[in-house]
Amino acid sequence: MTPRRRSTLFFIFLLLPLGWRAGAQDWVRTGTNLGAARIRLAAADFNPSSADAQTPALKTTFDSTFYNDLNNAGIFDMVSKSMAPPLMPASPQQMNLAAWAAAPSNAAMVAFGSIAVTGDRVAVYGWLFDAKNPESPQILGKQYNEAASQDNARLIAHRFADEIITRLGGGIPGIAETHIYYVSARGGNKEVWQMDYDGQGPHPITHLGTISLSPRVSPDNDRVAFASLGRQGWSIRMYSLLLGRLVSFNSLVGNTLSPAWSSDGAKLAFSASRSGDPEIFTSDANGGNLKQVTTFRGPDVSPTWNPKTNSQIAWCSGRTGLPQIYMMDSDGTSVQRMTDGGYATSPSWSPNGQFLAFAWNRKYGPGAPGGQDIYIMDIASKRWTQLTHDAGRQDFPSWSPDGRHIVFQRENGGGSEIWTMLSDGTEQHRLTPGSGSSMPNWSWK
Amino acid sequence: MARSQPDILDEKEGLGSQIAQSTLLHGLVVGLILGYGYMHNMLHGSEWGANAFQQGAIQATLVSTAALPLPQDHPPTENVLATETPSVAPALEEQKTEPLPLPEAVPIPEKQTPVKPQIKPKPQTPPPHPAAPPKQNKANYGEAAPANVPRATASNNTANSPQAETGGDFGSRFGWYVDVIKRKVAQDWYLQEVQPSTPAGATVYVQFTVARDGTPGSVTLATPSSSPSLNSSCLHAVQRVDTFGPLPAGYNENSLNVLYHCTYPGSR
Repeated sequence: MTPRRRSTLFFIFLLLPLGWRAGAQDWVRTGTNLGAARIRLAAADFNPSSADAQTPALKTTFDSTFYNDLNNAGIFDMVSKSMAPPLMPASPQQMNLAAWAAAPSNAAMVAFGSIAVTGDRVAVYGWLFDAKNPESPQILGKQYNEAASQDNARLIAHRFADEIITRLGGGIPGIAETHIYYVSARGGNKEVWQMDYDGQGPHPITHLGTISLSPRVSPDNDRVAFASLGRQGWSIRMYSLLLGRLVSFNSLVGNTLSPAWSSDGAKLAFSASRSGDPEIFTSDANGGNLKQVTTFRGPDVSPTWNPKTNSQIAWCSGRTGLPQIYMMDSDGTSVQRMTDGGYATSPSWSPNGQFLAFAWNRKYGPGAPGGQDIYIMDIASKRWTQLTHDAGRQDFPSWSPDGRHIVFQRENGGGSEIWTMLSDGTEQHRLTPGSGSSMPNWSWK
Repeated sequence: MARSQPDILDEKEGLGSQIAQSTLLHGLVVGLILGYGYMHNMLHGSEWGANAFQQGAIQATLVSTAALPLPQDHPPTENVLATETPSVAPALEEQKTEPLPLPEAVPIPEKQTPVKPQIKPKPQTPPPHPAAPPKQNKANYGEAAPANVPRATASNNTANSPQAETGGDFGSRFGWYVDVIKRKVAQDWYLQEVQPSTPAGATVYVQFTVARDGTPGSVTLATPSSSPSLNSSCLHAVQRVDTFGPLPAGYNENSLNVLYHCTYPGSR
């Protein structure tokens, strides 16, 4: 190996400086002792580089959406707009990294760029610079060109934010382009609705004029499975988002509820009370190849697949009295009880397969004024963490595809609303104004 | 007593002869004692401390005659000639001269011993270079000489983040990616997996590779700590990471080698 081919890299750190000889690939030394701090990120207001009349409005939409997306990601310590240097750079040549790296902004990373409207098109140029590395600061450079509209300004902001989150977040895609499906009674009937992940753009999906519950979108975002009340009771129905109408699904006769997609989109699990006792069934995506996987006496409802393996199902069972969370292989074997008491419902499996989120009233019973809160449990150790406290009755948690967020239903006096939070319980905020929104489900991408 | 004294005083005329007998008797006794002492001394000699030889069942040998390597009081006597008229020295032997060969004599050819060919030492040629090993992700491991290490200190932006010094161009160009690695593993390191009895400051080193697409692989313990639970928790932290994100586009190698340390901060 010649010295020219040998590429050597040394990282020497504060606590234990050591030398390290490299091989063909570079070596890096790093480590942790107190966890990881969030990245200090500054999102500069984009520079308007055209005199078109639409530019200010689109720029305002873009700037606010872009900042909120990065702020909602949960991995950044955002620099307040008031601490940013006054000059908004439009290009790398205008970028003064030292000003951003210095107090008061103290930014480690800076996202900046320009927005221009030409005719009916909006063009955005965006960069991400490492403020601590003036030698080679550029991490990312992107350009977008879409039809000039408010929606597209938001879309471009979402995409650029997702690029930054993916790059700095360690390869996990951002969620800025994801959607949340939920049940809303805003139109008089309980229908399936859709909104952006940040609560923007809510609109109904179904118009069945009946009661629809527990929507679950397919992993390819093409179909929404939900339970709907018909003449023969509750049944699973399938709505095609591409076709904009119901498509056939061979649902069981009887009360069939709470569908759940496997992460490969090939299977559905749901509960059906064909014999009067709700049990868990699995089927293909079109309802064929039906298999019953639970046979115990007592209700078995609300299945959720392990999205990592699709070989396990967690569900809610009342076989011992009050409903508890159980877990089993998808063929019905290896049943384990996960919760040790109280009233536990609505399990949701995290995208990385490590955690279950569920609603739990640990002090359920007469004379025990316990609230129902959202908990997450590490499946391997069965250790749990309470995420919500003293804020009414929480239910129906659903994980975001990046595993960093949870959307849930909160009933606090005046009706049910959709809320979101980071998966450690922080940064809770409401997504739906008013009441009458329930059973949220976060899309897969 | 009072009655006997008048008797003694009454027998005055017999006292002289009795004194003479007593004196004679005492003299005889003294003479016997002296005579006994003399005769005894003559027969037994001096018993006290005398080095007298006595025949008996036990014979003792003087230590000085034993073959013990003890230091001697006197050096051994040098051997001296027994006579003071030594004999004459023998005459020196005459040098014999070899007779000259006759003119017609033919010399006997001497036996020619074959000369062993001297083995020439082979020139020291360096061993042929082994075939270059296939390019692999696992780099040579070890400490380098400090003089060969170019170092440049980078700034430390937060108190908890390690202060980095770089010797290659990955750290200087893609420090943000090193931060990504650090952050992702740190997020997946669960301190509750570590036994609380683990001493604060215990450190385990784990090494792994990051493929082009960002997936970690070849996760092994490089330097274990004294706590098995700390070792396994750090391994699990890396194994929990699905991806670190694609390696930076400007980095041309196929993978990146990482040595990651987990230092236990102590039970809280």
